[in-house]
Amino acid sequence: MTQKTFSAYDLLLGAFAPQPEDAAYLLQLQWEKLVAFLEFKGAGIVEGEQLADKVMDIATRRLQEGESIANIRAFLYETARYVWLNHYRKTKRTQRWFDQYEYWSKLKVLGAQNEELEPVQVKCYQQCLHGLDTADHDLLAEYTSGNTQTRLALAERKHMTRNSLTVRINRMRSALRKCYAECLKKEGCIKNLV
Amino acid sequence: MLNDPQQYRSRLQAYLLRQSPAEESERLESEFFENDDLFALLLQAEEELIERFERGQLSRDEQRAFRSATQSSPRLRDLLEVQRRLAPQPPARKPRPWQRSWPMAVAASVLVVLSLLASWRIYVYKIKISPRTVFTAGESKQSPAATLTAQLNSPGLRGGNNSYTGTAIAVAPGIRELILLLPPGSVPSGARTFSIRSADNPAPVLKGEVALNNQKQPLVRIPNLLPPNDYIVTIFSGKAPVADFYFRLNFSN
Repeated sequence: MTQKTFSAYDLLLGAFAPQPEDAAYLLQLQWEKLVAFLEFKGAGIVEGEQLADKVMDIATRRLQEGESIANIRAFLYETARYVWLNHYRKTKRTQRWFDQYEYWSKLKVLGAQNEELEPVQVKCYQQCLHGLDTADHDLLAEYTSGNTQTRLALAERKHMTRNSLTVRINRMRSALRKCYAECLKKEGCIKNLV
Repeated sequence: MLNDPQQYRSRLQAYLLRQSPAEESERLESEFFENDDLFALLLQAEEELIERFERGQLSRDEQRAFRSATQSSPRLRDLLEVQRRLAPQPPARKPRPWQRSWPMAVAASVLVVLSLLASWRIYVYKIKISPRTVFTAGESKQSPAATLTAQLNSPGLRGGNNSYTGTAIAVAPGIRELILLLPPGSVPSGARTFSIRSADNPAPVLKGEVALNNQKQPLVRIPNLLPPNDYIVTIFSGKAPVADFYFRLNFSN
């Protein structure tokens, strides 16, 4: 999430809950929902985060202008739909196809199971996995290789609810995917991040 | 809390596969913005969908819809990729005719186990854990990481009775990277690349370049992403394979 000025951030927090700690958690969660929603619509991870920031900026501006938002969650959803439609219309379709073509032609993105990876992909995964701290890496690996029962047990062991664990894992995967996409761009494999 | 999570599952799957009518999609979206538990359930439904696809458990229509959804969803492609890197699944196989008869299958399994017990000779078991520091790209912060170095043994060749002679590697939690040292002089000079495959599947899972350590000993450096199994490292000179090494990967607590 982009940095906001103290007063703007306070206004946004206040729209979620009276207690700052609760409000900060809810704000973060709503931002993650925005990113996921935009990704479900077809945005890439980097594009999704940029658009989610845009939605939050619109909400903040409205609050700064003195507008009263009765249901912040519904407001964010409606604004996200509008932002996505606008973005989709503005983005040239041919350019999006070209980006995807570039992406697919150079990398093994979705090949057969056990297909070998290009060395640059291995390098980027390795680098991004190293970027996670050890506890997060182990948690992600254990969660990913587990099943419904083991994940319930894992949540219990970590003193979290199953849903909180799911959201935390989603956050880690997003960080990993973003790092991976940025690494591939740095390596010259992707022209534009989507 | 959701009153009846089960009633949402098929609706969420249809939404993720882009099979929901527009009004239904909007209803669900609006609902998961309002309800944090539904959002978590949506993420879980997404995980299950990807895992069932990987295990070959989706129906033909669901598979078709899944593949079609990945064409327009970078998210689904990325998550599938992450799933494959962190918890690769063995490919689903059709049972061979003799495996359909369970007494034959049991007898064959016993024979295989006995033959493996007799033939798997582990005579090199040198493992050391060396903590090191890596720098995260774009940031100055350091994060600790652990590398496990294992010496693969020589000759590392398949025996005449189709058994393997290899190195057993036990990977402790927290290990991020494996360095497989190859015996000095075992790799012809000029051999630069390697591929790794599981012993029971000819498709490579990783490939890369052979490096040399300070003592000019050849080594293979790989991320710790492989599931427990028996693996074969093949060294290539150009496109020609010149040497094979075997190792058995296990996780230790």
